[in-house]
Amino acid sequence: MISIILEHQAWDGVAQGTEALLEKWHVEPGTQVSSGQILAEVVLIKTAYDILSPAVGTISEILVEKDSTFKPGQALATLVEG
Amino acid sequence: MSLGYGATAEQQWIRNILATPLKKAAWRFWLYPQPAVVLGASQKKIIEFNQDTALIPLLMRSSGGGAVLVGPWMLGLSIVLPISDKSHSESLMKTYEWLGKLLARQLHQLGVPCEALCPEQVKGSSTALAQWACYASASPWEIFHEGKKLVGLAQQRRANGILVSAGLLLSETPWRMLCHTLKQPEAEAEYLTTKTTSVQNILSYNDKNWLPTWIEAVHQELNNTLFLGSPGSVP
Repeated sequence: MISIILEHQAWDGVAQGTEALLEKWHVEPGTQVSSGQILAEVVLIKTAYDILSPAVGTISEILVEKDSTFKPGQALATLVEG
Repeated sequence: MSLGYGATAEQQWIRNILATPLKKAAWRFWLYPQPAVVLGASQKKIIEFNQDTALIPLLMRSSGGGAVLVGPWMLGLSIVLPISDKSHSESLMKTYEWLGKLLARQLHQLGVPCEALCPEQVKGSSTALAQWACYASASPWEIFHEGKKLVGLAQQRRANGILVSAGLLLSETPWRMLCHTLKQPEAEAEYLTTKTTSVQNILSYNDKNWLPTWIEAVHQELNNTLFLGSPGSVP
């Protein structure tokens, strides 16, 4: 099981307490995905970010809903490899 | 030097160039002969609410941030960077810092005293009014003159490449047009007037004769920085 997060590097230099917005999901639970596939779009500091799948697998759970905010390191979804 | 015209052409250029993996940096300056409102990625509801009644075009962009009123009072700049260009695109903040400092340096050369604000300087500077408007607020590395916003920045970090955009206010912006188009209170137009400035206002210029030379200077610095490895990158 892999937790899908906004990469740690994205938060470099971002003021503590800042949250990102989950703008759009491209997948749902049960969606089979390939490595590098766009899973979601998020916005942080006026920056639209693609969240890419780190591996081949199946989305098992969406943890942050569309239009919700999230913190650094917070899991957005879970992916079962294979 | 690459110059394009109009907000629709700008958004199309961005969509096209980010549709496939980017191999090398590219950029284009934009002039806007006709006014239009360009809304941020999170502002779809604003466009849905106003689409039928707006007297000027309403467009969506894929980058974040608030509504921008483009027109003859603005110069746009779109720069795309390959994912592999770590010196300028390692993180979203480094990309903002690089472009903010580059444009502030070039504005200084023109005689415009201004500063690209670091994250500590904009901390806690959230706007009380017109939160929906890009130029009402301050984000890291955007450029200010005496506390008034002069250049706004936004970014997209996509699977195929990174886009960083800037909007420089050249002359007085008709904020009432923006508020009227989006059915926002008149007071917010007055607020935006107090929170922003322009090159023509700062330098007391009556024309834009300086603009082609300035664009060429920015173009040269981008060329030197992105293709020839000259200073300008964030350490």
